Amino acid sequence: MDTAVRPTTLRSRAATNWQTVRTSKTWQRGLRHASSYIVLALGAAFMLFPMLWMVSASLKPSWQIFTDPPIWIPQHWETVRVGNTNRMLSLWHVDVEGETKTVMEIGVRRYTTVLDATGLQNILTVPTAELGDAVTTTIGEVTLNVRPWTTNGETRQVVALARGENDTLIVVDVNDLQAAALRMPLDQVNGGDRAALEIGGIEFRGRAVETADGVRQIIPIGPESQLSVVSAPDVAAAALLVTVENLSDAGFASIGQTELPQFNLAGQDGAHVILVQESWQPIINEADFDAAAIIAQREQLTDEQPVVVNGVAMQGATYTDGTPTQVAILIRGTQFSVVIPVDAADSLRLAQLGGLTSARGDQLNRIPFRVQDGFSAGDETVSVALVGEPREMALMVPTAAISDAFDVNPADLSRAMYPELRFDGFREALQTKVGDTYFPTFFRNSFILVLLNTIGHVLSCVVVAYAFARLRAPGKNFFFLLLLGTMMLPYPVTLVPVYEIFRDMGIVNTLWPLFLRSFFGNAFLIFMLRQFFTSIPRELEDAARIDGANIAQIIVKVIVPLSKPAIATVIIFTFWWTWNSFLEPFIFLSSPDLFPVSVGLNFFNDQYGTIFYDRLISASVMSMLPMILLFFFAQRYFIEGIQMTGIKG
Amino acid sequence: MTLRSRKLIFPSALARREAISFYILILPWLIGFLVFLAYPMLRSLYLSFTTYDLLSPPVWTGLRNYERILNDADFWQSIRVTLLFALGSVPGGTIIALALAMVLSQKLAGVNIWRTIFFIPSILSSIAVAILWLYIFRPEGGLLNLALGLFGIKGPNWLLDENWALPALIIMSWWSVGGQIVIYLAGLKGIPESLYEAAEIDGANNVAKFRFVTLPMLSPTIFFNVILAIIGALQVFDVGWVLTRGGPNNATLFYMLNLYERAFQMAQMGYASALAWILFLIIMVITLLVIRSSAVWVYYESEAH
Repeated sequence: MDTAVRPTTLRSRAATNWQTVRTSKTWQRGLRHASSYIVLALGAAFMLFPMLWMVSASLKPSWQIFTDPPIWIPQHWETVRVGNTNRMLSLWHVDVEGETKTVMEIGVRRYTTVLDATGLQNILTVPTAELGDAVTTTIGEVTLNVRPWTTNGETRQVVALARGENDTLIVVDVNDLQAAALRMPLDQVNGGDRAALEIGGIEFRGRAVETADGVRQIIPIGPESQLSVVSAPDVAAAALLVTVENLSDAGFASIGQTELPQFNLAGQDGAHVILVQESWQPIINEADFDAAAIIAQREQLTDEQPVVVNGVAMQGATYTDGTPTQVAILIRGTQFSVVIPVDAADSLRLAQLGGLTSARGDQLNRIPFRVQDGFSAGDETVSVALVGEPREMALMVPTAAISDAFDVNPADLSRAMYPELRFDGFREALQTKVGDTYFPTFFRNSFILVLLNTIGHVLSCVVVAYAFARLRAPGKNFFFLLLLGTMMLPYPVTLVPVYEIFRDMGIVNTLWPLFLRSFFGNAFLIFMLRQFFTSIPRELEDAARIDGANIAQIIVKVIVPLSKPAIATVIIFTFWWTWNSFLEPFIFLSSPDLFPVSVGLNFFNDQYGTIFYDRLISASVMSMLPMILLFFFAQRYFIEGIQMTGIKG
Repeated sequence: MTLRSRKLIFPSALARREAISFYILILPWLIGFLVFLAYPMLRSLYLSFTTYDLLSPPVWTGLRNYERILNDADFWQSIRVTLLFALGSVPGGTIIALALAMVLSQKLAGVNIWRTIFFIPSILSSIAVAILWLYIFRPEGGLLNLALGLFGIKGPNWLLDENWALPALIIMSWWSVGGQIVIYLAGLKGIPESLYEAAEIDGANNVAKFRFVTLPMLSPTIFFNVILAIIGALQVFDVGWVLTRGGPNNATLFYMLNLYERAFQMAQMGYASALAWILFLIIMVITLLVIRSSAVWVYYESEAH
C-alpha cells in the first residue's frame, strides 16, 4: 500500500514546487534571498574570522599562531624529554615504505652532487654569454644546477663543471651527465685526497674518494643539499648534557644507513653522537636572588675554585663575614661581586640561552645584571636572573644506543601533532611580570573603577534626571538644552585643563581622576533616565506625596523600583565605558600597579608583543571576557541603550 | 488645561519650593558642568594663547601658537591623515552597517545570533581589538594576507608600509560597526509595512523600494549616526597609538596623536590647547556642513504633512 501511494505524492509535490518556482515573484524572492545570504556570508566572514582566529590563537603555542596555512584547531606537537634535562625535542612523522614512523632528528648530513670522472663524456666549452641563469633541478636522487644554453637558435640544457679560459664555461649536456652524476655526503667528499683529473684535454680539480666499491675519481659540482638524520625517539632517554670542552673528535660512526660524526666524552667509555649543541645560561629565580644574594667585597672572597651547584658548574669561593660560608659567584664586579650561599641557591639551574632573549637590564647596588621576566618552567612562570657565564653545551647519546638511523629529506618530515587546547597561554600571561606588577592587578583596578563609577553614575544621574523629568523651575529648558549640548562636545578641548585640575588637587597617578567625575553625572545617562522617568505615570508619585513622602523618598521608593531596566542600562554602560577607557587612565596614571586592564594590556604589548604572541593574545581574550559575559547576560539593555544613542529624528 | 488647574491648586510658595528642589537636585551635574567642562573650556581657550609647560605659570604669547601650528608640517599631515581616515571609515562603515542591517531585517533564520556576532566586536576595548588586528595585519602568517593569498594576491606589509598603514586602520574600523547595525536594524523595523505595500501596488521593484521608501525613512537615523561617526573618527587615538604610533613616516599621524605628543610628551600645553580648539572648530564646521547638507538628503516626516 505504502509503496503504491508514495510515488504519486512525491510527483505531485514536485510538480507544485516547480510551478511555484516558475512564477517570477518567487524567482525574485529567491534571488533576493541568495544575495542576502551572500552579503551575510561576506559580513560574517569579515566579523567572525578575526574572532575565531583570536580564540584559536589564545589556545595555541606561539609557533602555531602565524603558520601558513593557518592551523585553526590548536595542536599539541609531540616531544620527547632529553635525558634528565628539561629540554624537549620535537617529534616528526615520516613515511618509510608506506609505513608512518615517529622519529626525532639526531643530526643533519650535508650532501653534494659529484661526477664520476670515468663516466664523463662530450665536454663542451661555451662562452658565458650564451648561457642562461642556473635553475636547481632534481633528477632522480641527484640535484643539479641546470642552465639553458642557446646557440644557433637551439636551446640545450647543460650543467657547468668549471670555469674555462677567456670568459667561457666548461659544460656538459644534462643527458650526457646523468650516468655520471651521483649524490655523495659532503664529509666523504672532503675526506678524499685532492686530485688533478684530466678529461678530454681539460684539467679538473677533483678528489679521490674511498667508497665501498674502491677509490673513485670524482669532480664535486654542487649544489649542496641537506638531509635530516632521524632515529627512533627512545634514543633521547640515554642523553647527557655536557659542556663541549669535554668532547674530543672520534671520527664518523656508521649507523644504520647513514653516518654521523661522533665524539669521545672525557670520563665516559665509548663514542657519543651530538643531538643538539646550543648555549645554556645559569639562571636563578629572581625571588631567591632578591632574598639570598649577598654583595661581597673582593677581600671577603677567598679560596676561589669551581663549584657544582645543583649540577651547574659555577665559580665558587669562601665568603667571610663572621663565619665563612661556601658561596657561588653570581655576578662578578670589579670591586664588589654578587654571591649566593650554596645552600640558598635551590633554584639555580641551566636554561637555553635562546629562551632568554628578551631579558631586561637591572641593578643591584649599581652592579648590572639581567633579568628575564615571564620565563616559563613547567607549570610556573617566573622572573629569573641571568647569573654566571653562558656555556656551550651538547646533548649527547652513546653511539651504541642508536640502533637505527636514516636520512630523510627535511621536506618529507611532518610534525607529530594531535589536537589539544592549550591553556598555558592564559596561565603564563597571568604569571608574567608587567612593569612591577602582574595582570590580575589590572583586573582588580578595572573592577574597582567600574564599581566606583557605577555608584557615582547611579547616585548622581538618577537625582538629576528626576529633576529634569518632573520638577518645574524657571530656566529648566535652558539647562536641559545645555545638558544635551554637552553630549557632543569633543573631549580634547577639556583634556589639558582637566589634567591641570587633577594635578593641582594632587591626585594625578591615583585612581581618583578616573571615577571622581562620575559623581557629577553624565549627560547621556541623565538624558536616558529622564526619558524613562517621563514615561512613569505621575499618579504613582502623587499617591506617595499625599502620604507625606518628600522628594528623596519618592525617588527611592517609587521611581527607582519602577526604573530597574533604565538603571541596569546605566550600570552596563558605565561598566562598558570604564572597562574600555584608555586615553584618560593612560594620561593620568604612571604606576603600573594602578593601571586598568586597557592600559595594562597596552603595556604588556609594548613589553612582550614581539616575543610572547600566545600570552598577549590570551591576555587580550581575558581582557575581553568580562565585556562578552556582560553582553550575554544583559544583551537587551545593550541593544536598547545603543538604539537610544542612535535614533533621533 | 491641567497645567492651569495645577497652578490654581498649588500656591506660588509651593512652586518656589519646587524650583529650589530642582536646582538642588541638578546641583551635582551643574557643579560637574562648571568645574569639569565650562571652566576647562575657557581655561583651554586662554591657554591656547600662552606658552605653558605645567610647571611655570602660563606666559601670554597671543596668536603665536596658532601661527606656529599653521606653519607646522606635522599639523597639516595630521589633518590630512585624520580627514582621510574619516573619509574612509565613515562612508565605508555606514555602507557595511546598512547592508548588513538590511539583510538582517529580512526574515532570515537566526537573526539574533547574527546580530550578536556583528555586535560583539563593537563592545570590545579598542586596545584589545587593536592588538588582535596588529597580528591580523602581519605580512607573514597574518590572517588578512593569508586570505588574500587564497586569491593569489600578495598582500602588502600593512602597518609598516606608508601607503597601506592608513587603509589598514580604515579596514579595521569597519570591524566595529556593530553598534550602527543595531541602530539601523531598529530604524528599519520602525518603517511601516504599509509604505512598502503601497509601493508594491505602484509597481515598485526592490531597488525602487529601497530608493524611495527605505532610504528616505531611514535618512534621519543615517544622518544622526554619520555625524556621530565623523566626530568619533576625528578624535581617534587608541588604535593609532597601539598599531602604528603615527608611523611609518607619519602616515597615520592622527590629530589626537599629534595633540597627545605635544601635550603629554613635550609638555607644550599652550600649543596643545590651541590644537584642541582648532579640532573643536573643525568638528563644528564639518557638523554644520553635514547639517546644512541634510536639507537635501534627509527626509523628515513632518515636512510631508
